Amino acid sequence: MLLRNILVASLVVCVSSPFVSAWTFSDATLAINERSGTLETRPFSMSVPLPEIISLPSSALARLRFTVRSDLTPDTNNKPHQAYAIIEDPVTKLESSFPVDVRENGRARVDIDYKTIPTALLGPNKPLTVTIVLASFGAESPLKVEIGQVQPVYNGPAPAGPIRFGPKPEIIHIFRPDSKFVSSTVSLFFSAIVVFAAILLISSWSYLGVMPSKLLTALASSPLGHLGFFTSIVAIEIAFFNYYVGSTIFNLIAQVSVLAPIAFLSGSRALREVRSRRLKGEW
Amino acid sequence: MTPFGRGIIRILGFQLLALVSLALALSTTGSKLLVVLDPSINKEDYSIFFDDLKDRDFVIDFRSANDPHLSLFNYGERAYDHVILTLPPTQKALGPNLLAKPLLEFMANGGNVLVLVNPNEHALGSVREFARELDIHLPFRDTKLVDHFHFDTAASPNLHDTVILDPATSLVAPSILPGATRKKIVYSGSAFALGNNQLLFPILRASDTAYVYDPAEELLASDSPFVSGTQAYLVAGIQARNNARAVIVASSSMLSNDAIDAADSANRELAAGITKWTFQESGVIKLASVTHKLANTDEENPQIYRVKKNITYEAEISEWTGDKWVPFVADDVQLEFTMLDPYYRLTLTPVGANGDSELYATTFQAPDQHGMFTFHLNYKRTGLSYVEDKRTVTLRHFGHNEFLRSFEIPNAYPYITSVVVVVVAWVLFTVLWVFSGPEKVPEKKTQ
Repeated sequence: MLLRNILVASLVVCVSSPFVSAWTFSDATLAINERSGTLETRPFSMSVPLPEIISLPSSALARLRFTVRSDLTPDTNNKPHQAYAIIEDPVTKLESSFPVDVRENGRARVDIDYKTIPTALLGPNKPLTVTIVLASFGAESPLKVEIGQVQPVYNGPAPAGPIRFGPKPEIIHIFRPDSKFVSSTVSLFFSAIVVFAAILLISSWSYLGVMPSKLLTALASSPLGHLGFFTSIVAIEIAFFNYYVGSTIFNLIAQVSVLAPIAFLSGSRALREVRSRRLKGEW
Repeated sequence: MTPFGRGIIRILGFQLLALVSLALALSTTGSKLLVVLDPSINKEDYSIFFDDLKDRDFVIDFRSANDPHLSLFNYGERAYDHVILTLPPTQKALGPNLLAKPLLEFMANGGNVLVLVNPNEHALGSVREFARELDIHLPFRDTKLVDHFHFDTAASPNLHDTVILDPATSLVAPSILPGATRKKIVYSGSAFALGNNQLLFPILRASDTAYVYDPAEELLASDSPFVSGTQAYLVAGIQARNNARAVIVASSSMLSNDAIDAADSANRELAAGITKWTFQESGVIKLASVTHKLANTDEENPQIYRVKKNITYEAEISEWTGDKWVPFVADDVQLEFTMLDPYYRLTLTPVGANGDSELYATTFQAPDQHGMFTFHLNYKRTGLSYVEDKRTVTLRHFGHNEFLRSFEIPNAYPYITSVVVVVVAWVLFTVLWVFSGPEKVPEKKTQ
């Protein structure tokens, strides 16, 4: 290998000259070729790049032809060691290089086949810049010139990129909708109807002449029975109300187990008194 | 467990010196460093590099690759914390202890590996295989990286193989060379290709006009470069899922005294940056604490929450600077609240420093779905230690006494009114029934 390096070095040294020399190219064209034939051919040069973006269909290839010239050895060797056509996505800076086939007389040709373009460079509306690089060992100035842009025709969504670590999109849980309630106005209206019906019922009783006219008589004949009966009935209702508002079932059972015997005993006395009145005909 | 705790058990056979310096180590995983160095390599050529490592409290054990007692393991335990592998130019193989499998096993046990490929010799099969396991593809033997646009005109006026790299464009991982530098990186050697593995940590790449050629095959023209342009990588690392790190440097010559002493060379800083990352001195973060609780309460980490309650999650993350832990501030730390799928993925807000760690917090409403949920903090970023934490809690449904009461629901008003009306009317009816009677006793009709 060392031998080869020396060979390259000596080859380079023997052709070096004191003036600044450079790699150049001329007679350049870019042709879009399909199997059926050439679609279009555009000329370009080192100073005048392609004016517009060239479209490259998926079944085609872009063929660059140009003539390379070495200032040092224009008659014997016009073949640089590095002759690349580089396509680059100017946004992501990803690139891919295509070695150019150069003959010793300087005739150069490279095919940028759509099929050989890496998928990372493909995408809708993703023009790729094409750069020609000509360079070699020794003192000759290298050449790197951008010749224009090519847009490989690509339909459909952009190819997915590789998996990389990074933040993922946020997710916010969507709750089930809350249950819907009627407006309290409507609800209160129907409640009012219920209350109204009750008032109607109670007032119809008094219309029929039903009045607690024997209250004092009854209390006088069986005070313990009636007071105990009604107090325990109201107390049981209050116990149920407490349970509804927040007390526990055990409280309720305890309270009712006390109140129920009272209601039973006092109730039987009270009802006995009522029966005695009914038997007297005071129904 | 402290970063030093595990190491102390393992160094029973080691000298007292090692014990002392272990406690002072700048690396978070230990200071025992094995350098596999071939006798044909002159250690003095790399004296600055190794002296810098010694200054950072590494206890270096220089061994030859054909040392019969060389082993990465001691009774099944890792014998070293870190390994630097240089490729011996005089041998064809590295021996059975440095095959790809023991090296990978060393990494699986948490060890860190730095491989310095010798530019003048072909990479050995075992190292090539090891690199391939990491998705790093070493070049063919005897290849060279050249750049006709950026080369050292004094060192390689004709061959253009001493390449000058600008850190601004070539350094993929800026954290390796902290602080802007106008110095350049001097490089000569080959370059490798990287796969698409997300665990990879690319560090240094070639400039866009560089390419790798094979002097044996491509003497006259480069017609099929192994890699070219910015796809040619010179230094790349990988961090395994257990946070063990491996770095492959395509040319050991960039760490040599010649390259470090070259005018305007940033190689010494780069070498320090590479070894600091490889040996867990930089890019190391840890989770200091994790708490979750009901919002605006004090009880930490309860086992059970109710659906639709507000939950506060807090995590503290620290970063190792080489001598102490400091708060680690980032704006992309995310929390997932997961039952099979994430119901929430929220970015945590850095709230402020809490001692030597940064406090991250978020508050969210528990989903209306009961089950076993996991707070999943999964912070994995290229070049940083992976941080992951999972806490599973129960999310219970509403208790029977936790629903809305009927008097809070407008729909229920007519029914409640009806019940009240029935109770009142019934009591009234009882009163009337018991106490009613005619005003006067009707006269008995006499027949």
